[in-house]
Amino acid sequence: MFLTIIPILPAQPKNGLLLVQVLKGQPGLERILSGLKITILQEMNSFYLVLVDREEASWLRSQGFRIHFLTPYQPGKYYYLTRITSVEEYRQVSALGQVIRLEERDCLLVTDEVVDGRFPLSVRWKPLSSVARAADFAQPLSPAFKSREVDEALEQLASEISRDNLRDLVTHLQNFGTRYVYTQNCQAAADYIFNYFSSLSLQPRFHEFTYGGSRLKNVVVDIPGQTYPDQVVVLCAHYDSISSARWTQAPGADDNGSGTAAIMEAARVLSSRPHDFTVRLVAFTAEEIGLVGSRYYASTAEVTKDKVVAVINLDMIAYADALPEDLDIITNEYSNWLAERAVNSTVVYGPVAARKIVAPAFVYSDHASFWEVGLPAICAIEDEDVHNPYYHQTTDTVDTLNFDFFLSATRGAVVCGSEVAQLLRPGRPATPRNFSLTLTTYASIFNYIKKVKLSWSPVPGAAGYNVYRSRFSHSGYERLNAQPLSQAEFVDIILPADWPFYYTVTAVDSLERESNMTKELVVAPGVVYFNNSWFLGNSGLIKRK
Amino acid sequence: MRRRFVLFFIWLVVWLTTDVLAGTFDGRVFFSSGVFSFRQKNFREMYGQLPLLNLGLEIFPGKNYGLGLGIVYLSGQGQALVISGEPDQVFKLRFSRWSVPLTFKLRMVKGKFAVQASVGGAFSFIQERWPELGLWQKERNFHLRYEVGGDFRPARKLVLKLILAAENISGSHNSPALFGAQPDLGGFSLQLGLAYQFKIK
Repeated sequence: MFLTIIPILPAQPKNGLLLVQVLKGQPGLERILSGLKITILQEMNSFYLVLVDREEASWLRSQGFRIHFLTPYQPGKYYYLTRITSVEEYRQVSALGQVIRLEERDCLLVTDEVVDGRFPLSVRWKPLSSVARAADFAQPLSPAFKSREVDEALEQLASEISRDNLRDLVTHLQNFGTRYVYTQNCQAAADYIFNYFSSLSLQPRFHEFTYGGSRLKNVVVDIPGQTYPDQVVVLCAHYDSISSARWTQAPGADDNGSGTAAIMEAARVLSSRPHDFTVRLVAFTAEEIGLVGSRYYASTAEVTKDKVVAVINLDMIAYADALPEDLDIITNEYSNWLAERAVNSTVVYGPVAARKIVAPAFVYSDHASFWEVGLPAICAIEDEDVHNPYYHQTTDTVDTLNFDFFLSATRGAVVCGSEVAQLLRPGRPATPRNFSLTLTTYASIFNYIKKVKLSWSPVPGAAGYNVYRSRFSHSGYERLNAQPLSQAEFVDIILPADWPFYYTVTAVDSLERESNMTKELVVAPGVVYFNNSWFLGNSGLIKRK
Repeated sequence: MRRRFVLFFIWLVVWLTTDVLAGTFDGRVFFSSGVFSFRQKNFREMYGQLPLLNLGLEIFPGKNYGLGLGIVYLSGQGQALVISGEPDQVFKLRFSRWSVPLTFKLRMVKGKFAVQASVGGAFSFIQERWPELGLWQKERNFHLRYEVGGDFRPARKLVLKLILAAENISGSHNSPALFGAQPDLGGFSLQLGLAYQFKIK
């Protein structure tokens, strides 16, 4: 059990700043924003919501960038993102403060006080982050994941996921009556999840924090990886619920007993299987009051780019409004590789149709807390737009769920998690350990190069090694060596580029069977900061005037 | 500023050429060699002193003023600067520059000795290569050139020359080796040469 007390409140404004929209797709924009360390508060579908001072706004305009002023960013005001889908919702939300339309149904709500508990139940909302994001997430979409043939080990894993178990688990969660975050029942639900993980001989822990004067807790459990235990794949879901009778009756079977039951079932089937990376299962609290549990968790030291490989968030995966239902996989551009894999695993091992939706503006579930810290994360949900008539109602009960769809969605998500965490299969060479990278940058008057030296521990019995490089994380890898390398090291020379280079290595045996990939190491883009004024790009050095 | 300078320079050349065509003049063809040193410390660290060759023509229509035209070539090998990480390998570099300077000269003659000062412009072609990687960059540049020098005439048609030249060459790209600062590709050169003197009426 560990404890963090970090104040997470809606955006706390500083003086003299402006909230502006900067249209995405403008050439060189991300490089400029990144180089100048301009604060990006939120990535939307068609623009960035950016915090600038007047000088920065003028400079961006003078460089020809299209920006649109929204509102001053004022001390004492609170800022929320909200999705408004009807006139009635607009009327109710605008009673809370000033509503500024951003794009499609997404709006910015500016209020004079914290209004976390006062949104209409049908409206999705989230406090606007006050955490600055780097623009380094702005990468071209990774290539499509090439579907493989059905893998026996993964198929076996999928087949072990039990419909009956899912039904029992979600029924048990529903039977708490309510899991509204400030109730004793919600605490009891946390204890139930904790005890369930313990019964699987795992070692769960509570991640506790104080919010609004209450002690709240996420439940966290690790299935340690065999090769790179520091690399973590997170499967998560929120276990709290809400309804109009939140203090007494909020069964939350679909929202989100379904996701919680799925990760509990995932713990059962994954705990006995070895993976290269650690699989971490997290049941978040307080999602319904503004993604509070996941935002606290994402601010901890254990959630960093070099540790967390991927986050798969399951939120409402058991209701089918139409048959055949398909599973929506919500992603941003940066997490595209993960969404591609999730779609593939859902289609192959679900089996059920899955639809990838690139929607960085969909920030109304726990995956968004990880997007805010620049991590690849996806949200598996039955529908991007809520079609469940029992959503946030006292009638969101087990009898409204479709267990065929629920089972398929769970299988897809769990297999995806297992695949990304790299299930170890007997008969294959071991994954090379201690993969490391040293980087030396050489400069001349006009150019510079990067020398990338890769090394790893030799694998007993391996006939050789393959080294792969890609400009995309976890996808698009191309082998650099024509023949397997006999030495456990490799040197690559790269020229400056505006994109990162990712590396990984596999071992091959004499039967040409290939191991899993090592953890991924990255060489950052050719951007170097010089006292905030200079930075290198592909087209030379750029100076801020 | 540069445009004004070019216009002034053209006017000066026209005026001097007219002067030359109107009367007699002294001329010298010379060959000199020496070393060039970059003004920027990091560039010196990479390349050290570069050998330089200079073939030139000087024309003095008047006793104390004239024009100089030349071709300067300098070239050398160096090694890349390590700006981050552990240097465990040396990457060779080659730098070369062709310059065509045209300068206005003033001189003071005292018997067999003379001192002269020149100012003018030069057009330069600059190339830098990473031979092991096939990486190269070319640059063309118009820049200022200043010279001071001394002559010693041991024989009627033979002159020994000492030239100290300086140039300012603003690079059009900022330099990684200077951590992003704009480079000055110029520097100083010291040359010793031999000239053949002639007179035309």
